[in-house]
Amino acid sequence: MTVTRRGLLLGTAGALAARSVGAGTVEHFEGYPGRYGLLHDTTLCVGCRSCEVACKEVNGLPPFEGEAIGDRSAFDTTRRTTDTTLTIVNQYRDAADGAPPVYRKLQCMHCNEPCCAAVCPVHAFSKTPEGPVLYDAEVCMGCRYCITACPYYALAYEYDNPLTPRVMRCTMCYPRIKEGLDPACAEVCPVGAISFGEREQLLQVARERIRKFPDRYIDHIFGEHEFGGTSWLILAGIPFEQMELLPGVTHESLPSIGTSYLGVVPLVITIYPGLLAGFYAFSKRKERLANEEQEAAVAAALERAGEDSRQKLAAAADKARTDQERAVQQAVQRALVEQQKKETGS
Amino acid sequence: MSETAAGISAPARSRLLTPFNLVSAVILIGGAVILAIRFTKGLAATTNLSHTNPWGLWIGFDVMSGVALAAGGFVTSSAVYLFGMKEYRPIVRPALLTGFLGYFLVVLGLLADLGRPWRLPYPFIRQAGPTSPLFEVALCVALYLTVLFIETTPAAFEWLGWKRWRKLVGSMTIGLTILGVILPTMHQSTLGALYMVTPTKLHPLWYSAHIPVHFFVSAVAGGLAMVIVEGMVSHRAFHHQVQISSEQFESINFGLAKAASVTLAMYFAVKTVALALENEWHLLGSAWGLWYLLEIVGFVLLPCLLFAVGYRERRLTLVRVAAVITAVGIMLNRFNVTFIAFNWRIPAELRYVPSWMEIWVTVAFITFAVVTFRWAANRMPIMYEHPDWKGAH
Amino acid sequence: MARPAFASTLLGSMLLAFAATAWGATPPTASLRPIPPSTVVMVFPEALGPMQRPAVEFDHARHAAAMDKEGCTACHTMTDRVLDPRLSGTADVAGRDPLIDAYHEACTGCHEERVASSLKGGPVTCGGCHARLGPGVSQRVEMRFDASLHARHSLAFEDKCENCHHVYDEQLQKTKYEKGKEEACGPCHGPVDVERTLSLANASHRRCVSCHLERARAQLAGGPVQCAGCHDAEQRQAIQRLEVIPRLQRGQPDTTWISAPDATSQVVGFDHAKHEPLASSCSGCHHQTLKPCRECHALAGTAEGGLVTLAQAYHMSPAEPSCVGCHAARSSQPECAGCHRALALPPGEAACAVCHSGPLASSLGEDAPPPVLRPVELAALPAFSDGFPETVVIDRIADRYQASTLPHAKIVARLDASVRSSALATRFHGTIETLCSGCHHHSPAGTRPPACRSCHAERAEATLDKPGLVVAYHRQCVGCHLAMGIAKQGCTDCHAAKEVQS
Repeated sequence: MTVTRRGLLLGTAGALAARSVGAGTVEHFEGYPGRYGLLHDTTLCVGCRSCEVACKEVNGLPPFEGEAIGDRSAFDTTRRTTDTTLTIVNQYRDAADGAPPVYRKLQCMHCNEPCCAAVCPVHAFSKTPEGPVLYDAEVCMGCRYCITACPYYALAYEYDNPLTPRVMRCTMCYPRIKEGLDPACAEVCPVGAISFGEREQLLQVARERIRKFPDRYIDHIFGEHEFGGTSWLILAGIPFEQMELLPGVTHESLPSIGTSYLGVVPLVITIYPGLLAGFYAFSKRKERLANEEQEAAVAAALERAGEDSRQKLAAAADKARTDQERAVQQAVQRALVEQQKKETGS
Repeated sequence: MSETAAGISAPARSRLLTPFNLVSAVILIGGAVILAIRFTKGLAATTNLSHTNPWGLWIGFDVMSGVALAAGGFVTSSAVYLFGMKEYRPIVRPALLTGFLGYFLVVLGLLADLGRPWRLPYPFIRQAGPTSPLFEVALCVALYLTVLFIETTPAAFEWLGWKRWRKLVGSMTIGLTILGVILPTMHQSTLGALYMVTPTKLHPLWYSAHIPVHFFVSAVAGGLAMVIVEGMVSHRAFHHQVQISSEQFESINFGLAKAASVTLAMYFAVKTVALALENEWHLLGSAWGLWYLLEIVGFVLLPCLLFAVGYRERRLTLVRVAAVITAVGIMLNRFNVTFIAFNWRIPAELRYVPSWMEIWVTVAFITFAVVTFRWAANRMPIMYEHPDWKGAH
Repeated sequence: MARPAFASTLLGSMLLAFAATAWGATPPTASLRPIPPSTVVMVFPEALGPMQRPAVEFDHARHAAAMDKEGCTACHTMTDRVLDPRLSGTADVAGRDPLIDAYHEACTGCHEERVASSLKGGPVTCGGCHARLGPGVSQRVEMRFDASLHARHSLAFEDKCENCHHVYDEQLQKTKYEKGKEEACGPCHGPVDVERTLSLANASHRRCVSCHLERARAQLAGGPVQCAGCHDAEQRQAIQRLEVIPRLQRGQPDTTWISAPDATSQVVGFDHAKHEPLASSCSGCHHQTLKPCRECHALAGTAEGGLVTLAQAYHMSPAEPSCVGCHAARSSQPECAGCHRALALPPGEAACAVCHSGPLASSLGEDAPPPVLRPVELAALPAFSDGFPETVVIDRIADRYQASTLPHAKIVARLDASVRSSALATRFHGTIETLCSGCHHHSPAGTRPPACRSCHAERAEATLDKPGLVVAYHRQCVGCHLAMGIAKQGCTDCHAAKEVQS
């Protein structure tokens, strides 16, 4: 799987440079050969919205309530895909000066390196070799990081569902593709604005159209390289920015931009324990040295105090002895004087 | 809150109907009702989340801000146990308890916000998505919550008198503290790295290749600020339990202020580097630029200076004001990254504003944390040292 | 502590910042202000460079009306009955500041005088003339002389070409008239004055407006004297056109061989007389000078020919002066666009032979007689039969809509009629079968071309860029209707809806 390989191969080099993916790896995965894609030629789209209806039918979703087909008021606002409408068509320019109005179909772009797959903590998304990105509702815990990450605002969530909400998105009609059929939107489009086929061959078709009709198309196939490329390739006659697409973004895939940072995690786990234990050891050592110093000082002080008292004791003992001797002498003197008095007085 | 502190010192049973208790009860019951609606009618009934804005207040505050503001636990415990700054020991336990409750609040917020919260353990037991930054966050937060829990058990064991258990967890302190620095380093940064995959959706002034560093440094500052704020509140509420002198307490606060000032200065520098790196100076002239400058100047530079002045002039009020501003600033930064400066290109009518129910539930979670803190502090040696275990930890 | 005050300051600043964000997020709306054709926006980038104040928008029509009594010479100099279109006193002033002073003297000076004599005058303050009006778009259209206008002038001057046409004698350093060397003005008179060669605007205003003024003063019928008369789109449309434009006589051939020195293929026989009325004027094809194309454009590109080779000059589509370019422009008109629009038909190589049908270049002598070109006769449409149906029922895929009935005969008849009405179409179509290839494309033209379903399967062949059957129907049919402006463009216009069984 593309994503896992990248994520695990990045390692050290990816950690030091916050963004670069090529620094540590030398291999380049072109993508699964023969994978499918879809070419959306917005110069052909007439805004009939048959694709929206067909998509709902094929996926068993409830039909439109307010915005019936043919109700042009649906184009008054810029719509987004929802949990019951997996693809929508927006109008991006009114008819003016003889130029027809411009529409574009929005849905999951089935990126070559999908960021939704890279950021899902339970790996609920997978990029199939056939091209579609699939979602497994059996493991999804509803964190909605995928919806946050998707740059095309292609994912929706069943907020109305209290206990079994799912992420809802276009599946490129994967079951139909496996049977050899076209996705419902490609099959039903009455003007052929959506072509389904192998992505590499559709790129050739797109380039040929641009070459043959240079005044009709902007010379750029959106989705060829943006953020690593998508399965949906878009041709336009008006600047892509006017259709809510950003053609100037990096060709680096979002997973490599957004998850290469994780390479730093093993570094933290391996370096921090030693580093912090070292801090602890240093602080303990400082404490120990401080303690030893203190003990030494106390011992010295005690010793000096001991010396002092011994001297004082000796001095006191001397004095006591001297005092005692004097007292004895005085007593003897007195006794002698008494004796003398007795001898002379009697 | 200060005036009801007197009601807490008496035995809880006889003074159950204090104003604080009544208000908390209303908030908590209301929160429970809203959560019941959330699980019977779905997220649509209780939030303003949309397909364009899948992450709202419950992620922006409960998860993002909660994690950032609960960072005080690892900051103080590493200061005391790893760097040997023993004078901060009196605030370690309150900070760790705040941290634990903060992270618990994160989990509560997740349980409310996830589509299927009972599947929260799935990344570990069912199927892992190891390329995902969110997987790393989940793993780290789960482990760190365990670490924090164990780090708060010494107080419980002292209270319960379980000496052998207390000795056991006491011996694990250094190891847990080291883990307690490794894990937050990773998940604080990775919470920022969650947005590295959205270069077109997050406004370039907030988006940077260095977002993980920004989040980590601001989390440290936020943690320090929350320790000061929490200390301000609990020192008054549990004044009767506190054993340290006010001079000692003040000097602890000033020490924290010094650290916070340096951290905020570092954060300001890192943000400036990010601007210079992508040459985004011209963006400062736009409306978004003004908003960004408000966040950086008003909520980072200003408290940095206030902390420094408060520290030098020994003015506790300044320090406390700065701490409040910093905490609000961290929240503002997380809100910006999650739903204000995120999706900055979409038209005004699609922008996200939290619903009152989301706000109520968030307040209910905070109330729950406060009430639990109060319960623990009233019984366990959090704000004081147990006589049998004086100087032991 | 000051918590309440702090909290309110915080809240206030956050609200303020939110408001700033919302204000900054709303995009500005700009609508351009129309500037009437008679208003001159006084921008002189070469002479003045970047300016501090906005450009003055000078309303010439208003000034002319206000100074009607004083006449043009109040502001312009008249020499030898020729009116200098430049403001007198500002011509030939060297230097930026002297030029600005000259304009200020002329304009503000006059305004101040009039105000002093209690007459209605213009602004005297800086901002009065240099007003901040916001972005505007000029409605002035360029004046173009077409065949009808030229013919009217020729008639008025009784074919005395010297009244307008001249050549420049380098030796004598002056203009003179040479018969047979009359040219359009554009090749010599460029967009700006170059030394002694006047700009086109300068020259044409002198020549044309002076004459018109004279005739107006002599009460004779003449051309417009107001700016809007030539430069306003509506008034231009209203200029009277001659019903029958007499052929301009300048010694041009009726038919001629188009060949070039060193060319090797079959030469082209060109009907010059038939093509003359089709162009707007001679300059339509002879875009710089009336000389033959090969005199400037050599087989390899030359500087004189703007590095355009001769082959490119004849074949460059979509440029109008080229043969193929003009033919392509004709075929993209609604009458033809149904088949000839972009996605339907690329130009084929059989079309080359239609023009390159003369003798080989090598066998064409210097004094060969001019070609005799006969019109092409198209055969009549065959009768309708099984092989050439009048209607076709299309019911191959009828799930959402009912079957559709294609009015085959009606379509063919209409297209056939428009081909026959155009000599160009007739010559290039050559045979009846060519018409079928418009819809029955990518197949040999013949009397029984394949049906759509023969080549288009239900499913598209994306790698060949070949659409499926439904898409083929829609692109071909609806695409043609759109290009030709035919009303049937909606789904149920061609096939009724079906009740969908749920």
